[in-house]
Amino acid sequence: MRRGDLSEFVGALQAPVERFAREASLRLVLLINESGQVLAQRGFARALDVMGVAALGAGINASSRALAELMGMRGFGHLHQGGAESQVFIGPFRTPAENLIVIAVFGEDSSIGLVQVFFAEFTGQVSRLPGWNDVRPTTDAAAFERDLEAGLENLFGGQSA
Amino acid sequence: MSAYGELLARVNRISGVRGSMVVAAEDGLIVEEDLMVGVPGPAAAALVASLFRRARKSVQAAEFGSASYLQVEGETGLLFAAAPPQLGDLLLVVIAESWTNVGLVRLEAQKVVEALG
Repeated sequence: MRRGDLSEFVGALQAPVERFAREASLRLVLLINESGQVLAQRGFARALDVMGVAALGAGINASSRALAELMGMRGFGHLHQGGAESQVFIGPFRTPAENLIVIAVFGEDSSIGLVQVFFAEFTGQVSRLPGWNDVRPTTDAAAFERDLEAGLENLFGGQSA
Repeated sequence: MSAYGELLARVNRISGVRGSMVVAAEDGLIVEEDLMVGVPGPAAAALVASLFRRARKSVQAAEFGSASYLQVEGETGLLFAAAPPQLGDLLLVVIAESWTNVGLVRLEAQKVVEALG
């Protein structure tokens, strides 16, 4: 998403993200695009943490999709890493505007079943939002770095840590 | 048919039952299901498992031992979950019309679960 679009369309994502986090009892949730640009978050206090998780999440999504394609599949529905105290869910989904990725962290208050159910609701809500239900041109290579920074600035007001 | 499939088939023969599932209590995921068309299995499984986990914590906090059954009644139907020890961390979840004889569901489930054990 281009820097100029952020204030217009990204604000609308916060309410669905908040609802998803509340209903699925998530500890942390991050919404990014395939480039790793941060679009919305809940639960993170520092921009530095968001930047790291966004970069890793985008990388995991890209490598997992490449692995799926090597095995003759189009992609995967979601990735889930279980754990005793915290679990991670990475769910890519398509909107008419661009492909997005949810990274969610949850604990024993929730379950992968609950997260799957509310993730399906969340993707439907986002795909119906104004600005996300139309095809838009994505960022070009020259503006990539600037637009990547713009996501964090939009969420944290330019503070990096 | 698997052992769980046989359990579900027997429960589903009871009048008013719209379907039943074996669900992992911790994950809220379906292990085996036998549901009528239109019954939202994954959502019901995840939410009932979540309810059961909280009910189990409540019972434990009150020092009443372990929770065995959970029943939620709606206007037009009911949800029933049982955690017999023979199923380990699995729940038997039944979705039924409100007029279903729950005692019969429990009895039939208990008989089959004992046979499994």
